[in-house]
Amino acid sequence: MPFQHVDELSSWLAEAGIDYLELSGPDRQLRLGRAVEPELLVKTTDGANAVTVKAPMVGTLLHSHPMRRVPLAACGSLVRAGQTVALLQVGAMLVPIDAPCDGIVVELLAEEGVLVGFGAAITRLSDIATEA
Amino acid sequence: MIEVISTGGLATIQDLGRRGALKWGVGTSGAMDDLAVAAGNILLGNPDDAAAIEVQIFPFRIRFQDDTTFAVTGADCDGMLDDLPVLPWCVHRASAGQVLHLGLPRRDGWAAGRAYLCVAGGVDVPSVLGSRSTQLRGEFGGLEGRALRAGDKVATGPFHEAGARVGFNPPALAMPLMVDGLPAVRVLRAAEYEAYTPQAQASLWNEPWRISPQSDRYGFRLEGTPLMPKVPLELRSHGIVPGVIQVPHGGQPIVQMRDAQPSGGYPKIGTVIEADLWRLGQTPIGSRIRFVEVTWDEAVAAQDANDRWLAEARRLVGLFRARRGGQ
Repeated sequence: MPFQHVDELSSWLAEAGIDYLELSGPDRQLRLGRAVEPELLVKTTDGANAVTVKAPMVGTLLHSHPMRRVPLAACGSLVRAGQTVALLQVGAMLVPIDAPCDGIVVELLAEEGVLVGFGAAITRLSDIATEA
Repeated sequence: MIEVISTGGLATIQDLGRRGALKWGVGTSGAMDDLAVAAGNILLGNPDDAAAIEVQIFPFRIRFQDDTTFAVTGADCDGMLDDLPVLPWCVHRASAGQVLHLGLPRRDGWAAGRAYLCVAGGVDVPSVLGSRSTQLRGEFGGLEGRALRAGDKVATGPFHEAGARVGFNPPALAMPLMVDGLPAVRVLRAAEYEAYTPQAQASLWNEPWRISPQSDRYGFRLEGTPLMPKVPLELRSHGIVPGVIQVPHGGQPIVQMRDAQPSGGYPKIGTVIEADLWRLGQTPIGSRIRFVEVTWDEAVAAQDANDRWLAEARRLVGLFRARRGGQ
């Protein structure tokens, strides 16, 4: 398989949030793995003390827990480091997306119920620690 | 180890029940919401027989004595770990010294009455007749066979990191069962069903039944149109199981629950199917339910649906953790 195909496959994997791929044919086998650096995925400081919280995987975005009608992190609310600001639903499973730092929610960047991909921007926080 | 700081009473250690002891006249006990305990154990990577603390009166507060992971399943009680909110049906990490507070159950997503505190390794009390469940009547199982009290220190099993934090959408929301806006449970006809008047049979299936305040882990006393037999019935004591709907002379039915005695003498008009006992067990006192008649095959299919939900939940968490590792 030409190398440019491997590069293309790798970029597709990154877009889809897939860490590992195995392809087998009658005369060949290809295994592709992707190194993941979790801190980089979750937190990106994009100037003006703002921090963008990103999706760690593919799933249906929920801004509130299914058992609660109130949002996990409404615009303008204070969230603490480690507090869940959104959930990704995959079937019965709910994957929490946690705030990487204390902050004020300044913007919700993705709509409730949409399917988001790996690295999709979910919520923007103003980093309190950086402002102080 | 966890320390009970305050409890409103009647919080007990429960697992999936003491199966196979009815032949000695020992009831099953076990969690009123068995799906909640099973799901908590999947979330924490615990063995299926790990025990949890069933909380039915709030607030309830405990202090973690060691670093661990935990999940609160069942009712959503607006949990707080020190000053951080705790999501229901979701793994959380706790450090030694942190305090978990469970408040009144919320009603906006699922009106449920019981919460389950599941901890990594499970609540470690001796297994009696194959179960750690508290048998209040017999005063064995659980912690000294009694409800937990403030100051109790409860051991937990060996801690192991289960992997990435994850949660579930509870089965009550994934598999809702409502009739005319009320929560419903499915019921099989029981031995004395035909002895009741057609009006009584119609009332059973078509009218709401209120969970009276005289309801507990032993049985739920229901209020509604009295169910009267065609002629007065007298029966000798016979074996009964959780789910059986007995009708005493006044016609107000009693549904036997997890702490049911193994025998009773009242006539039986129906039986809440095993697969729906968790739904009834979670219905708060004062609320109303409906009964839906099902066949044996439908009852078995309902149990299969519960088992499929758990199997799928287990599969998804396994896949997720294999990919994410311990992050």
